[in-house]
Amino acid sequence: MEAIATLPDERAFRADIAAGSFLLGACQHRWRLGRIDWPFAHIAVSAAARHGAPDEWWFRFDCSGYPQQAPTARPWEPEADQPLPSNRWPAGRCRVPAIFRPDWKNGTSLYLPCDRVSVAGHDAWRVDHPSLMWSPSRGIVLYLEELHALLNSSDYTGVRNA
Amino acid sequence: MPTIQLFLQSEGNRRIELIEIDANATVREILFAAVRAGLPEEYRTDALVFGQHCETPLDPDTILSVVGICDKHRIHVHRCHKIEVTLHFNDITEKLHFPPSATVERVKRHFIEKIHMSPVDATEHVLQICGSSDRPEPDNHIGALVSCTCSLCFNLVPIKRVEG
Repeated sequence: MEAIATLPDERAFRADIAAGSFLLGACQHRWRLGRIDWPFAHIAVSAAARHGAPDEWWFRFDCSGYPQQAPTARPWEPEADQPLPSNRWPAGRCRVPAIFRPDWKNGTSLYLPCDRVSVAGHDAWRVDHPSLMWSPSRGIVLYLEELHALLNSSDYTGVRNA
Repeated sequence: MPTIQLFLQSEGNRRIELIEIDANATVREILFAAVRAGLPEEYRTDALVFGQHCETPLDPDTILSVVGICDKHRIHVHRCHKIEVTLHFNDITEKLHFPPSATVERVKRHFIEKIHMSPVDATEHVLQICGSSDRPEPDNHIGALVSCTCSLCFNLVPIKRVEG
């Protein structure tokens, strides 16, 4: 059998998705792992029931340099394997639209302190949102927990333009 | 011999370990498995095992299936029978008692009921450990947040919008 060489970041990511925290979330149907095409990992996060909205949202995480570097993620359309059009992104009243901002970096990254792209230039977030800052020891579960909390909050209203 | 996998959290350790154990093992054997997973050796004799929804520790000599512990269940290993949790919100303070296997979410839910906060407002607040900026995940067992003590203190704080 031919050995498949994996890079350290991919090995670290695969170790984290085989560990207790990630598996417990999957077991509780909070998230679901899809395809991995390194450095991209597709993960669905379950959401509270809202009229006309899916019961889970797919995200494509770019995990280059994991876990020393934070991932960056964007909503994804798994059937077409392309970015989710911004008019079908998650919507909300206050906190959710602050994170799901199609105008931010052309919709390529979520506006979260634990996102590799978005954190750049936002030094104040270290003080304002310390619990949302990326931590290599918590890994991908940190990002997933925050998405799950947002998509199951009272702030979340469903799909834009629903 | 059939085996089952259990999600283990333990005293002062937020990491969730996946342990494998004989389905017909006794509760005591969870302690041995926990020590193999890295817990201190003295836990074999000093620690207690809690099921997810148990108010009291499980009898160490009972078979897992008899006490309803099955594959992919959550368990907690801790030396305290109960954790005394002090909760603050504005000028309100409450002291509640929970088993170490209670989740942060469960503690918050009880407190929310006590102070009559609406469910909608409740989703906009989170528990933060007193004197820190640490906001443990709602799914964490509270026993994982304390070691060598049986008390814990939280402030209920609003979730800030990310901006800037």
